[in-house]
Amino acid sequence: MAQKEQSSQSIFTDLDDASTDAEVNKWQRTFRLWRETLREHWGMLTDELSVKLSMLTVAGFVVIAIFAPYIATHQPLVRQYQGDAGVLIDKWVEPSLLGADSEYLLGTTAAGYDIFSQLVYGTRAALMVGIIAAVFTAGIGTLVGLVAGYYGGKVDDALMRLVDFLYGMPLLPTVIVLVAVLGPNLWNIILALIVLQWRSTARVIRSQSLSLRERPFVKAAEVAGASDWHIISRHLAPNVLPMTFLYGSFGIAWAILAEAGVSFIGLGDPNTVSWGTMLQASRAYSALSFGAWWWFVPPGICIGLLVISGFLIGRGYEEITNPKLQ
Amino acid sequence: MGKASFVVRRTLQLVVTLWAVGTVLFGLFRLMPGDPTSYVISSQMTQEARRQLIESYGLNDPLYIQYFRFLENLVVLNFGQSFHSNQPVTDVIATYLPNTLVLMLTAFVIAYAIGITLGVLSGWYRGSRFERSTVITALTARSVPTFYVGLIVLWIFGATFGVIPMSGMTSLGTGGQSTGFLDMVFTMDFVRHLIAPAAVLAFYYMGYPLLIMRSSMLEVLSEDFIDVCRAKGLKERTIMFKHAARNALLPIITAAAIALGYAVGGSVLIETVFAWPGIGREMVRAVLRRDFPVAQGTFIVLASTIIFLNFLADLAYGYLDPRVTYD
Amino acid sequence: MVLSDEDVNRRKFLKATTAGGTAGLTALAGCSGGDGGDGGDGGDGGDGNDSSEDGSDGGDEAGNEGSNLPTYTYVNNAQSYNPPRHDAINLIASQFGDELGLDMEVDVLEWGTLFSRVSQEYNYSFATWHTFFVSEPVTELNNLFNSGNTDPGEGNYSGYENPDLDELMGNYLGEPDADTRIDQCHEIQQILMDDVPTMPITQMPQAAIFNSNQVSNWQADLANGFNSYWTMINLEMEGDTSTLKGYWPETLSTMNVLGHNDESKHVYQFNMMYDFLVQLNNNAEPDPEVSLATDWNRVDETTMEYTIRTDHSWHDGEDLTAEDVAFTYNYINDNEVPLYSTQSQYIDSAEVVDEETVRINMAEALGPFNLAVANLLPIIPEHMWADRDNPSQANIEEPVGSGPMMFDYWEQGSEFGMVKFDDHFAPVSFEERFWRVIPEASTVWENLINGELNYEPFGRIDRQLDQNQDNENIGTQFQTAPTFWMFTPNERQEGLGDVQMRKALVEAIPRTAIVDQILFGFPERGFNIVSPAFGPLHTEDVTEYEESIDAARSRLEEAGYTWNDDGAIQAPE
Repeated sequence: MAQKEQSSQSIFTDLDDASTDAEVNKWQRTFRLWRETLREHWGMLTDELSVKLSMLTVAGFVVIAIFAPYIATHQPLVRQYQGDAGVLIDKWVEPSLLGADSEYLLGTTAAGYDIFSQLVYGTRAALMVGIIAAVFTAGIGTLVGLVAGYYGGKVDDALMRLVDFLYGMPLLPTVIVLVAVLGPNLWNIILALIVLQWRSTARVIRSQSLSLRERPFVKAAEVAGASDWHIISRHLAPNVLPMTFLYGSFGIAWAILAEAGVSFIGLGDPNTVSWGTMLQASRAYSALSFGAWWWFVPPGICIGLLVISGFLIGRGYEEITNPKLQ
Repeated sequence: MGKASFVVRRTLQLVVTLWAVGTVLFGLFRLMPGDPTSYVISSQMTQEARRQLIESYGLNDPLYIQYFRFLENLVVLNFGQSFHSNQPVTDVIATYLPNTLVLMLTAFVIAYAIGITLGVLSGWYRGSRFERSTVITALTARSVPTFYVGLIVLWIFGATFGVIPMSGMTSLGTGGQSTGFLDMVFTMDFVRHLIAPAAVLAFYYMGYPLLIMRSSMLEVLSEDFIDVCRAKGLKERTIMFKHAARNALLPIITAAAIALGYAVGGSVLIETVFAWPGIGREMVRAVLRRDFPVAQGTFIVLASTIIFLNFLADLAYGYLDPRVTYD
Repeated sequence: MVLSDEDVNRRKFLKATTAGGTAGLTALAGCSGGDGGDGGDGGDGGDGNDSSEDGSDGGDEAGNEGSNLPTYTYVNNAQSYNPPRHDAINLIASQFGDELGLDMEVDVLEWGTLFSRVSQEYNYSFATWHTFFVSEPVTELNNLFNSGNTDPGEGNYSGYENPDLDELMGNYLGEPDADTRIDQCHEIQQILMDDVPTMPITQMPQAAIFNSNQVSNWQADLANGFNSYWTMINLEMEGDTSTLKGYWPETLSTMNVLGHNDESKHVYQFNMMYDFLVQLNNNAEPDPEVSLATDWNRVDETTMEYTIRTDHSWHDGEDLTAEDVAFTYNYINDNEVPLYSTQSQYIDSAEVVDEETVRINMAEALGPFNLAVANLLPIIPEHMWADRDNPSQANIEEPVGSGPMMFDYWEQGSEFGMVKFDDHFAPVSFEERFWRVIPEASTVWENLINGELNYEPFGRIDRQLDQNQDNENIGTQFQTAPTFWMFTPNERQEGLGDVQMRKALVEAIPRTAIVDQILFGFPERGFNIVSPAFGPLHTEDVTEYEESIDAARSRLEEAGYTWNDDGAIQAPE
């Protein structure tokens, strides 16, 4: 625990400016500071079993996404043809996993696409939406929160009114309207999610940086004549990092859920296979009533697994940063 | 700053937010691709007739005139007439909003009753297996999309066992039998249709109060007065519910208000799955048909539900928690 | 296993999109005509070139780079809107790309956007949809192919121009003699099938799908199939069933008979709530026994006289008089009700001759007046409408008509109900009829089988129908309809004005696969733009096209087209 004690000081204090060689590049020190903070958090996180499992799950999905072309047995959006006649469509084939005599692990859809391959490629869409949206929402939110909290006054007021406004927008309806305006493709869904979702990170980070601003080490830096940007990036940012991570990992989960919801309504990207569009298609063709559960059960399980992993990692992190919860 | 000026300032903020939401909506819908009249017109219509129709909707006026007319109407809650049905939008809202509210409120009452109880217990029995499994259940409930749980429930209990109705709020052919909305709500038939969607939603929403309750229990339990209670020799159960839980309730109340707002806003998915004639589904329909007045009106209702409940939560927080200062 | 390009062997085509589809199906009328529209108001319609590439990798895009023809855009509806048609369009597009070497792109559009892009803006290369029910074929063809209608929004979206055909269609429409019209109509369809501005892909059937324990005797009429007036007044109820129980995937929009958008869900209701001067029987002949007019005659080329029943009343008990009929025609005409603008252009005025006779003066001679006008204008009560000055936008809560069914209740978003009007001259045999809003096909079928519903007005052709049609509780009846899934190339685009190219495209459409694989064998392969359902107006003697890629390719070769090494087509210089 001693080690932890020691290093945890690095979050709440700065590296001692005076003791370091003045020649050392500023950026290098900033980098070192960040690296240490990150490493320490990582160490604490992986202590918890549920977090470890979640990380394994996410890692598993990442591997599937990267190697999708090697894992998938067919192209996800290529109709499966049979015979030489050219246009016979292999529809509603039962899964070979259940012993059916077919070459499709999970059967084919009503339009003749291979379900297993769609599932594999769907991982890409989910991770892409989740990670890009999370990085941007956490990033923008942190930046806005820091700026608002540090500068206070009019800047703070203006930014927070903007956040208030965003809080007034219902998530799914807004995304639906935005996607209807911009056109249903994955990027627009991601964009719509980012536009709305940075609001919560911004609010939390702002209140953190409000209190950090009053801390002695920030005051000291101000007296020493450090620039605003220096203080924000070196003194404030590393200290709000845990919160950023926390909201980032929740952000992944929310983004994946939202994408699935939007796709399910029928505003998904028709050019990309996602778990949401799979569910939507299975519903459009009443897979439910034909008992073709191999079509609609797996995507839901994948969504659930990935999302719950995001939540668990976030939670594990929350418990570290908020010792009262332990 | 005093309470009075806090309320005034917060009210002002409420108005500004509503205006901003309205303005953004106005802009967004006019950016939509496609022709809003393409649904209104029939194939048989001549070009001249179509032009007239567009004119009568005021779609030919300059944008700023349309904007001012829009704001003016917003203030008096006149959202105009549906392009599609020529019905006043307020009527459309009055038709669909109650359906959504009944569903959401039922789900919320169930979710919070169960969530709070489980939260108190898991906070109290910190570190136990019970705590672990409740937390995991709560997280799972929040991780699987509601519409998916809805689909599975329909598949198992509706299609396979036939114990729940597959869609709608009432049985087929019962329309026109109820004299009013409330009359319909208090029939067994309605309750039968309500159970499945409300249960699915409750399962989803109970995670939130559960986790909040658990963490505020943990905070409260670390405070001194609990030890005092113990020293007094009070029963564990009394301490748990009467002293600890009551003190942990405050964050729940505000969180519930806010969450209810977002739940109404997010009603579209569950309404789609269970074919519940609610306002969320109606909004999506209107958006896809480019029926601007209805889309705007329903969206504003969803947004102002959120804004208003946030507002109430803020006020309640101020009044209930003596530690809050108004700045 | 790694997927190589050989495994894939299918060219990707880009799909660009501007807006998504609705959840659940919507029956959309107003598909085929499209007279109207200020093209400018269509907005930028999104040329949709924000196309993202297919999310997966591994496709070979290179194949079509070399074509000297432009990239063609096939507009498609969203999957959720109409799954089989979405499927079929993708299939056709991939045939054009893979087999003929065209550079194809599929645009998935929300229905309203798609419709206005095709019929108003003419901004598309290929379009496919289900044509609208009509009772008179040439009126519609004249809209679609008249050279005078080629300006944006005027109706001729295919861009086909042929002065000979214009003249022929004009003659037909002014021709009072039915037999002469038949010959003219044959010639019209021969010209059209030879030049193929539009090709029927599948001849869709009209389908009666019902619970045979509860209702029987389904007789279709031409225009509205098994949802027609004739069907309803002839239905027989079985056992102790007294309610006709139907559904629709979407809620109705309005109770205004002059202000709806012509979608079939509205037409089917108003057809029962209102009377029309002339009603048709199952042979598409006007039948005075069941019509409001008991007799009619053509006074001269531009004048009709109708004898009106004198013993009929409105649902609210007021007498229905010749005054009401004359009022209706003048009112619709004077107020320029958009829904009936096509009919109005033939009406000059209507006057009451005596208490049972109404005379209608036409603005221009129209041969098939009964079919094209008198059968389509609903008769409305003067005492309810006289004071409404903007009829198409009136908000009506309880419509008053005189048809065999009366308005009962409308719970928006869930159910619409009508009750029998006992005093009608052509009464129905059921006491009530309701329509429930049920978006899910699977729920519909469950209810049909267990008798909670007893008929399927939507006529959805899908796997549910295929699997359940032999169920002991289910009865079905199919009949050729005048409607079809059409394929229309936009002749304004480079290369598509070439008739040999169009013929080759038609030959490349896998019509049999679409019928068998996508539509479970229910429709027939399409071959003539005037359906066999039109009886004598239809002829088998038209140019027929093979369904063969080889035929298509050799036709193109003969016309001077070649293919480069990548398989991309080269038009002759």
